[in-house]
Amino acid sequence: MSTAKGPRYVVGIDLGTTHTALAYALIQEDPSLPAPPIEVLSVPQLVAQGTVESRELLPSFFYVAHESDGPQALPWDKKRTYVVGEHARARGVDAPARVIASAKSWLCHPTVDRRGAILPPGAPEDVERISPVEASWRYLEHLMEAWEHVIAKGDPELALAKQSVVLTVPASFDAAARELTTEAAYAAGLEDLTLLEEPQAAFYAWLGMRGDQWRKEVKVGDAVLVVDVGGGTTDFSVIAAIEKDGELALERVAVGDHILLGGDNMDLLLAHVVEQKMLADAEAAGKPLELDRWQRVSLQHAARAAKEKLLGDSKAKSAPIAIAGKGSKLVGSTLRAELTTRR
Amino acid sequence: MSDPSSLSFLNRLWFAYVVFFRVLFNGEYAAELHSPKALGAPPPEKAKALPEPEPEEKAPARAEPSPVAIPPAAPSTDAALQLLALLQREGRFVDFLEEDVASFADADIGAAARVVHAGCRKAIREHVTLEPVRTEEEGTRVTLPDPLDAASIKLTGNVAGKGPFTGTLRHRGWRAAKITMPTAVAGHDARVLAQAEVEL
Repeated sequence: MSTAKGPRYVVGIDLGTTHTALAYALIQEDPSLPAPPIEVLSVPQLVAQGTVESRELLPSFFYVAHESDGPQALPWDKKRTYVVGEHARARGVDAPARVIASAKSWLCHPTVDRRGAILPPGAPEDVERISPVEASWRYLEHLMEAWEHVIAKGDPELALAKQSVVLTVPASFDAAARELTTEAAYAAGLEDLTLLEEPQAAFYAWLGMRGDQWRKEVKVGDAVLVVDVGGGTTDFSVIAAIEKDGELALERVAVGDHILLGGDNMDLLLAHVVEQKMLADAEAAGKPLELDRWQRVSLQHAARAAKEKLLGDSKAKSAPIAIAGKGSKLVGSTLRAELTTRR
Repeated sequence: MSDPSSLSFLNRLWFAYVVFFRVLFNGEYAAELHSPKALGAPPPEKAKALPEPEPEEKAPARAEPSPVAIPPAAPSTDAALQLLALLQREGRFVDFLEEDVASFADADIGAAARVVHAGCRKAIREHVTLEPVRTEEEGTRVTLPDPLDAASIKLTGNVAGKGPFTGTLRHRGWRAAKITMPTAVAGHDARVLAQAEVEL
């Protein structure tokens, strides 16, 4: 007779707007032993056509393959017709109408039918649309399959559905959005589920990194402002350290609105500025210029790199930007520009 | 077995088939094979030599199995192709190398080089951990251990005498400390480094 054992791992999942990640640790029953290390799961995913790689971040993108793409085979499913992860993100640049990005932002959109099959918006006829809830479910499903492949390997006791899972949600998510997130998790098969607000999770992580020193930094009565500047969103929350049953406890006392503005917007703005300058210069030189979609994306990435360089190095006055053309002739078609601190 | 490598089952099956007919119809070969030293482990060269068509006067009636070279060991070129594909995907490496740069100004080449450098560097760093062989600054005097590890250090200039050697470090060298390549899915053609793109 086997006794049903409890979960062996405690798992934290961050279902982010642009990236998803999973961290886990063995559950240590004996508090006198040192805490087991926290590991981040390297998630196997398609990173290019026919190429699988394990990465710690799983981009939250869903690409519906066309028949011309061929089967999108993963180690655990040879005939998959959709892609989740890095390759989905890359294909999203090539074929934007077939990819779902930022499904999480749709989850808290107040005016759409969040359970309705609305994504991707503007998809062609042959694409079977799915709801934001289903998209979130698909990302969780990929994580579960990856866990099965890497950790559980067929052992039913170790399956992710049996582990103790903590799923983070933005503090600014309303009740409906939290409900939908839970729905997606249950659909994926996760039963032992706890929702945790992202700023609190970040704060716990910060405390964890401090080790035993944290008591010197946080006392009862302190209020901590947690600022989360992501790619597409920014969240401000205030967490207070209070006393509960004689012990220090953390409570989120205030949260700002879910701001759909983040690092990516800065990059877009900088890219726009540089593009206008390039067009103006080209016009003045008598050779009018027009950027295509890939060059704009390239420019965004280059603007981000330039931004990081200028913000990271106080002495730098300008950063070069180079955008390649699309064909195989690289040298002749690369466009040059510069991002300066002044403009 | 004196020979460290060993043929796979399929190779042995084919080999046994070929040897059977050779021994049956080729007396010289049979005698050679019969000698005690040859019976131990047929060296790979013999295996390769067998399929070559011998003068057919010995067995014209019996159809010789058509010569098929024993397939070489699993191609190690797959990983190299993967690396090229990775560098092309992330850094337009092949595009850059294949282009004729002689006719362009330095500024144009420089702009393209930035794109290639940024992309390839990211790709390499994600997959290979590189470290220099010697950690000293180039241009400083170094004393090398004795005996010298010829694989990781080469001497130039007045190469004579006995160790331990002291000289000026001209190049720190590179070593790959760790390498992790992505896995190719079965059925993926590794020779396609970059797919052709057709915009609809």
